[in-house]
Amino acid sequence: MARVNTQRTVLVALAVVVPILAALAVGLAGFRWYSAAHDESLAQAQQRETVLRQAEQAAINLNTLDYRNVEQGLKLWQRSTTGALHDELSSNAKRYAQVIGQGKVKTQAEVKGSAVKRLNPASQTAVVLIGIDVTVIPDSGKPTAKRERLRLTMSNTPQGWKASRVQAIQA
Amino acid sequence: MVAKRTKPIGRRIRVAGRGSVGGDRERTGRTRGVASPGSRGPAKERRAEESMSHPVTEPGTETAAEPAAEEQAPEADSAETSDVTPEAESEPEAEADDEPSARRVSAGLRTRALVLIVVLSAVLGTGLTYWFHSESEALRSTAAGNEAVVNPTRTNEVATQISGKLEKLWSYDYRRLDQQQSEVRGVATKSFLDQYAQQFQRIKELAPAQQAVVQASVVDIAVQRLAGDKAELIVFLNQVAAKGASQDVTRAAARLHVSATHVDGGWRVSGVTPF
Repeated sequence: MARVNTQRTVLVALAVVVPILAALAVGLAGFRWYSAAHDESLAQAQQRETVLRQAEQAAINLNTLDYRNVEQGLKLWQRSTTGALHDELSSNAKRYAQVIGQGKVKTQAEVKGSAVKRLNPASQTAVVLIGIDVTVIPDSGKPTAKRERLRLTMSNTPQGWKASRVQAIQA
Repeated sequence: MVAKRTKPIGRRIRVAGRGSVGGDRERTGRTRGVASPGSRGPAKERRAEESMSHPVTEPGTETAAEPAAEEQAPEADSAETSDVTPEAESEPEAEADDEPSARRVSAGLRTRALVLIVVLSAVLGTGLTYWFHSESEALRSTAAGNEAVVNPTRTNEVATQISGKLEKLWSYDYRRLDQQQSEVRGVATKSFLDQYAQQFQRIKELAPAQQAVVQASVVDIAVQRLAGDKAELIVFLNQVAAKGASQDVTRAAARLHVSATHVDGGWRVSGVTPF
């Protein structure tokens, strides 16, 4: 009888202590999560990672084309850009398609190194440096490799970060 | 949710006790009548329940319940005195025979409810804690102490200092090579300068014959990673070389991955890899 009694006392004590401990643990972890989610520098760090990934993808997209599939390539260019660059690509799409069609080359691109140079949270713009190797594969003949140095200006849009300016930095 | 469900159990007991003290006999009687037609059972049973519910409910219930039991029939009195000292005996064992099954069921329910509270709060507690923890860790790990860009002051500091030091390391004039070599001492870490010395040895051999004057300039630089006294940078460097008596100019473009270390209050080049 006494044993059962102690068991019940222990059970009641547990029923009091465990919820309190659980509430404390959840409260503490919740607070840590809340402060992390509302930390400005953490948010900026996340944005830095996002813009870096999307700038790399934009650089790859803009350096990838295939004369046999011009339409699709040009659409990808337009999807990766915004602002003046997007307008320029769109209005000159026909001319580009012609030039690419005559070129009879296919290109492949690979990012070798990249870093965000600047991030402006107020204007939602960023500048990203990218070292990219572009392999030009002609229909006949040997592929050639170009080592490009790109400076991309990125702008945040409702559809994600897109390139608003691309500069190739010459020697 | 769970805590609420258990309350009615405790409250019912309290009502019985308080009711008898406050003079609301009708209600007290009814509660008893319904729960226990037996003689000794009810008083004992109630005490057991009351003492069990104390930690969860009000501490005042005990004193309130005392007169309630005394006001009862004499038979209950004797049961009371014998039971006061050991306090709550467990119900199922004490006179299980003449106890109504409703009582036992409610006791069993209470045990189950208590177990449910413990288990649910433990499961919910650990689950939510883990979820919040992993979410905030995910948020923090992207930053993972990488201050690049996020801390503009430090980012500019390392970029500016390393920019100037790289230009110094990658420029030379065949007329003042020895001076150049002594100037780079504070520019890079010791281990880097050891590697640099080997390369510079070749420049010393070739440059005078070529009459080479090389000027390096950083055209663009970005900090990839900045944590504590270490930094990683991406650098676009141009070199303009003038050679021969005619000083013909050649240009070279380099992409460099540069490591930097903070030593004695300044950033020094600790590694350079073309990519």
